[in-house]
Amino acid sequence: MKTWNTKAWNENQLDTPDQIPAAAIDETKYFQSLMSYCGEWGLLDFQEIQGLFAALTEITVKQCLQYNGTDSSSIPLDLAKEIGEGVLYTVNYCLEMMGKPDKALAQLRELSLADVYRQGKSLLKALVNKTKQQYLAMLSHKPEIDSYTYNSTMQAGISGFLKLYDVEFMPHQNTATMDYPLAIGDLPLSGITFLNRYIQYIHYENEFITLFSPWELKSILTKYDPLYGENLTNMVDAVVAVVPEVRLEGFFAELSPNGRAYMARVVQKENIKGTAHKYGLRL
Amino acid sequence: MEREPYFIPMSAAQEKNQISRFLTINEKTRRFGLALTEEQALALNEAKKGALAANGRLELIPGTGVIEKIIMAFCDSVYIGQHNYVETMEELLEAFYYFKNETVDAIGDDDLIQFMRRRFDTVCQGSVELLLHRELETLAYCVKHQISLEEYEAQEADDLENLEYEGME
Repeated sequence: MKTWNTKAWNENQLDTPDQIPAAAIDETKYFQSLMSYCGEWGLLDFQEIQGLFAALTEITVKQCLQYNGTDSSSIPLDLAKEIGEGVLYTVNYCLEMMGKPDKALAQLRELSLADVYRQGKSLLKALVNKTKQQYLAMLSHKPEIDSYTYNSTMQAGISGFLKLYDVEFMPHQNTATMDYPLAIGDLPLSGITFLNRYIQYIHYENEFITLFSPWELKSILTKYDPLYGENLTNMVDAVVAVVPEVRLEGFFAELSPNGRAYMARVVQKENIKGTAHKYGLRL
Repeated sequence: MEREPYFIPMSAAQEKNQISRFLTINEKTRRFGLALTEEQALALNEAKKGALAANGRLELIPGTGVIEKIIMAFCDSVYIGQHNYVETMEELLEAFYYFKNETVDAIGDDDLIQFMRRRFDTVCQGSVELLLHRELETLAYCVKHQISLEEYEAQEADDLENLEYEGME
């Protein structure tokens, strides 16, 4: 059904690495920005792009019909849009996992969009399983803190998200809000990629705060915010603000490389906020 | 973040094909004294688009035949004649899509049309108004409250009987 413009492909020698700069691709709109770039630079012609968008519509229609489950020939527009978002999210995830935009384009050339979608769905399902494992691992090392927001997010929030998460039809949706904020700030992600990253960052934050004894942490938190147990107080923020920088340097040295890199980003954010410190970390 | 869905509207060729399909229905409906002109077929198609838009619905496979199904189900009704044919079909289309929403898509197209058809000739005596505001509302109520229509109607009959009995006393 698909007829690729192989002439344009060869002329542009896209099989050499990095012909499409990664910066040209908006990761939150991978497919759209890849199509836009390829259209602009003649890597795909109009018909090819139109064909890919038509294939996307076809997948969405199939998903809608499957979702309906009855002999309905129509569906509420809002629901169709949501299902369409889910299809796009799945395709985007598959393409993003290719690593480089060139590889993503090669994938689109080699496979039909329906295959890319199927592959994306398998990858997402694998990510859901991985996230569940990471969640259980994180829970087993969770610090005991008398913070309602923290505890309810770690227990009911995350498990609720995983229970309600619909990888089949609504993979882009956040099925529960994570009330406990990250020290790094809001994540520009959604669906399971959001939750996976959130758990990963919480793990780094836990790694840092468990370097403090429970009574020491409690005293730091009380000093930072006497109502920390009820407020949306991030514990890492509290520690960074309260603990003298000379002591913090020692704690950072004890972290894993990933944990240290994460804390470097947090501290960088703190610097932006005006709490300037130098912790001997490469920012 | 603003996101755009991608849907392709029905092409002109598909639309033309759909209109000609409506016209072939005339062969079946003529024996009930009903026929559509090309203009009326176009008007019905527009009414369907309007009903879909007004009820915030999207036809998944354009031209899957909801109009044909409604026409075929209702054409033998004694309450529909050539004089009110198009007007009634337009009202039924509007009612159909409205109640697809109201019944939260729990009832398939064919079942909903069959329900409408059964009530239209019997208890509604050809009134789309009654069909819409009494029968379909009752159906939607039952779907939303997860009770069977029979159960609801039996309860209604009991209530009415009790009311009459109290009146007699």
